Amino acid sequence: MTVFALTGLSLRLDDVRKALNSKRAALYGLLSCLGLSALLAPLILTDLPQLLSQLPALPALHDEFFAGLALLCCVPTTLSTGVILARQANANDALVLLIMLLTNVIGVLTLPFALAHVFGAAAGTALEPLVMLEGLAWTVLAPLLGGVVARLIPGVPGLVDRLRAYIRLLQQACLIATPWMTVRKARARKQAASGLTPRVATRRLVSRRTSWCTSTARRWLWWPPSRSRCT
Amino acid sequence: MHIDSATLALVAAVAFALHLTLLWGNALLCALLRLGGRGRAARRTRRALLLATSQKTLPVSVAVLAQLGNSLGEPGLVLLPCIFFHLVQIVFGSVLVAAWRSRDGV
Repeated sequence: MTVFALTGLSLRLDDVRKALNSKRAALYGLLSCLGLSALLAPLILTDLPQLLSQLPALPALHDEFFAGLALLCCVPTTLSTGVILARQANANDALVLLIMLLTNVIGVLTLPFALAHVFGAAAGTALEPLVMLEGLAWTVLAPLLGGVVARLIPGVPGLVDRLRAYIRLLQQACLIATPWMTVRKARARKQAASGLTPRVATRRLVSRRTSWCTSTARRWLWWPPSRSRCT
Repeated sequence: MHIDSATLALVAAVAFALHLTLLWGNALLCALLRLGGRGRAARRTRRALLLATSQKTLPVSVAVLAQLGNSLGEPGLVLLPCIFFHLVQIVFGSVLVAAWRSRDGV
């Protein structure tokens, strides 16, 4: 949520207005990101595994990897990387900004239905689009639009422009943290399912460390032999 | 679940192939539809379109996975190609931008 709020906060609507001259290109960008690339998703789920299995000497990939690639085909365009690269390449960065805004706002509304169609048809997984839509609206749309609205408060745009470098660093830090948090939650769920709670894990860790320290001390110091050996 | 380096390399290669497919497909369509006009004037628009349409967001992918839980399988494994794709798009995007800049004589 922090990433989306910061993106909305640093979004200059004046830059977006400049791109309104390129409506045809913006429309193509929107259709390509949300429509054309999503057409690759069913191919990735069904045809790509068969193609890779026919190639010799390649390791077998889990179904989850193909699901991740199919998910990628359906999601909107990147929030900040495209704009930064466009500026470096002397490209129309306002157009990239407009496409980013359009695809991320409209994509939140269309993505649940696209995913339900792709994964429901190909993988037989039942997804609930309306539940996903509500979750994405709160996680993505609300912070993004909240950041945009916050820029309307007097003084905020100037403050954001002064702190732009720090805001970008914070965005990247949150971006780095999000996959780590997802993996951590998945691991915690797995541990809870296997009965390994944090308290039990800590107790096991402490006892293992204690026994390691004891055995190391016995190897380096002379300690009397244990009673079981004496008797 | 142990993932060996060969599997990781294959996932990264497939993510790279997907990025190239998106780049190539969109470049072809932009040229066919003559988006941005003709000649050098179209260059700025087409470069912007290539960058915008071949790149995908990681935070939204994570947000979607958080909603789906285990519906698609182990979330860590589902997220792995998304992370590789994100890295590939940054690295290859930088290479592409450097090539464009050298072509422009900057």
